[in-house]
Amino acid sequence: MVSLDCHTTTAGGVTLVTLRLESEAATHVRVAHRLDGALWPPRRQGVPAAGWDKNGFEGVVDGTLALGYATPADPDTAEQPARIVETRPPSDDGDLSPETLIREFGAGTPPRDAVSPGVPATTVADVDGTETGSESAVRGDDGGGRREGPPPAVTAWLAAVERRLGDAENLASATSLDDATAAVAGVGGAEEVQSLQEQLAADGEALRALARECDELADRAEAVEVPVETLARLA
Amino acid sequence: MIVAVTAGKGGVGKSTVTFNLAAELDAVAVDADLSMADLPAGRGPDLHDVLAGRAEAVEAVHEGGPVDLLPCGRSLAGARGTDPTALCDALDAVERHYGGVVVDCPAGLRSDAGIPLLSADACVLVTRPTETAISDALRARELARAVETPLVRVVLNRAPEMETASIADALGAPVLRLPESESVARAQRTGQPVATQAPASTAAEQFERLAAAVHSVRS
Repeated sequence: MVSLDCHTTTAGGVTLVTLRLESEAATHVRVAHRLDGALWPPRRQGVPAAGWDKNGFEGVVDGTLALGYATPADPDTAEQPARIVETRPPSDDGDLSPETLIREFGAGTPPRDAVSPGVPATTVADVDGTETGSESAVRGDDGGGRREGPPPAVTAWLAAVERRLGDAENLASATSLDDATAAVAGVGGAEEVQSLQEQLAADGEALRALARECDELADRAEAVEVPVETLARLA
Repeated sequence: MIVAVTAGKGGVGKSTVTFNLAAELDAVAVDADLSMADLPAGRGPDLHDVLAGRAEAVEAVHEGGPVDLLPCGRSLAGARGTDPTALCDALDAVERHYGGVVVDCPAGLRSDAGIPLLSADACVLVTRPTETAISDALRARELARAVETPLVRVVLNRAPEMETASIADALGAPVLRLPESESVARAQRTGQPVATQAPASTAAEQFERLAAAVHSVRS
C-alpha cells in the first residue's frame, strides 16, 4: 500500500507541488499530475529527471520518496494536485533511453560559452513541446552583439498583454446577449473573465512601473557620452 | 542494420573506417560527431538540421558520391541547437529507407557518444597501438557494454606487425590490424574508398574482412 501526501505553494504565478510517497515494501508507482496546466519537471542536464514525463512521475518507492515539480496551473483546478494512478511490483528492467544517457553521462552539445557572440542562443524544448525563452533573454544579456529593438522576452510579454487587452475590449464592447456570450466563451468562461480582470490590473501596474524605469534609463542613455576617441588614444 | 564506429579518443581513424566500411556494406555513412564533424559535407540539409527538426533524416542523405552520406554541420551554434535524443529516430529512419547505416560516433564518453551506440545493432572500436589510445578504447568499450551493444571487431589502425592477442583479450573482441598505408592516405585525399582506389591493397582486404565480420553478426 502506497500513500501520497500532496502540498502546494504558489509564488509569482507558479504553483510548486511537493509530493511525499510512502510504502513499506518496494513498489513501482505511477503518479499523475491532475491540475489544469503543464507540468514542469525537475531537470538533469537539460532533460527531465529520471522517471518524469509530461504527465507525471513513474518510479519505485521503497520507504519514503519525496518529489517536487512546478506548474503554471492554479492549485484549485483539481481537488488534489496529483494522485497515484498505478501500482505494481517493481521489475528489473533497466531503462536504456537517450534521455537516461544524457542524465547519466552528460550532454555532449557545446556549452553556451563556446558559441560565438552574436549567435542567438538556442531555445530548449520543454517536455510538452513548447519552447522556453532563450537563455540570453532570461539572462538579460545579448551575447556581445548590439541589439536593435527590445529583447524577445519583452516583446513576447507585451504581445501577451496586448492579447489580454483585446479580449477585455471585446468583453467591454459587447452590447447584446449573444455578443457577450461569445466574448465570455472566447476567454474561456466566466471564471476566466474574473482572472482576466485581475491580470489586467497587474499588467497596468507593471507597465506603469516599466514606463517610469524606461524614461529614467532613456534620459540617462541620452545624457551620458562615452569619450570614445580619448579612450582609444589612451589605450 | 546500424553499425556504430566508436573510439574513446579522437584522431585514431574513426571517420576513415566509417567511410570505407559504409562503402563495403553499401550503407549510408552518418557523421554523428555533432561538434567536430569530419566526413565531407556538401550543400543541403545536414544532421544538425535533422536533429533540430528542420529536415527529415532521409532527405538529408547525400547520394551520388562514392558513398551515400548523411553529413553533419560544422558550426558549434548548429550543434548546440540540436536535440541529441532525436538521433535514434533519425538513424532508424535512414536504416528503414536504405537498409544499412554506419555511424561515425564522436570521441569521448559523454551521451553524444552513447546515443549512437544505443541505436546500433553492433559496434566497431577503432584504436591505435599507443598507450593513451588503448586506455581510452577500454573506456569506450565500457560505454558500449553499458548500452548493451555488441562489439564486432577492434580495428587497430596504422599498426605495425605486432602481437594483438593481449589487446583482443583486454577489449573482448578479435583485433583487425590496418597497417600504415599509402593507399589509404591516397584514397582519402581523392575522397574515394580504398576498395575503389587500390582494390588489391592490404587495407582494402582488411576493410573487406571487417565488412564480412559485420555481415556475420547480421545473419
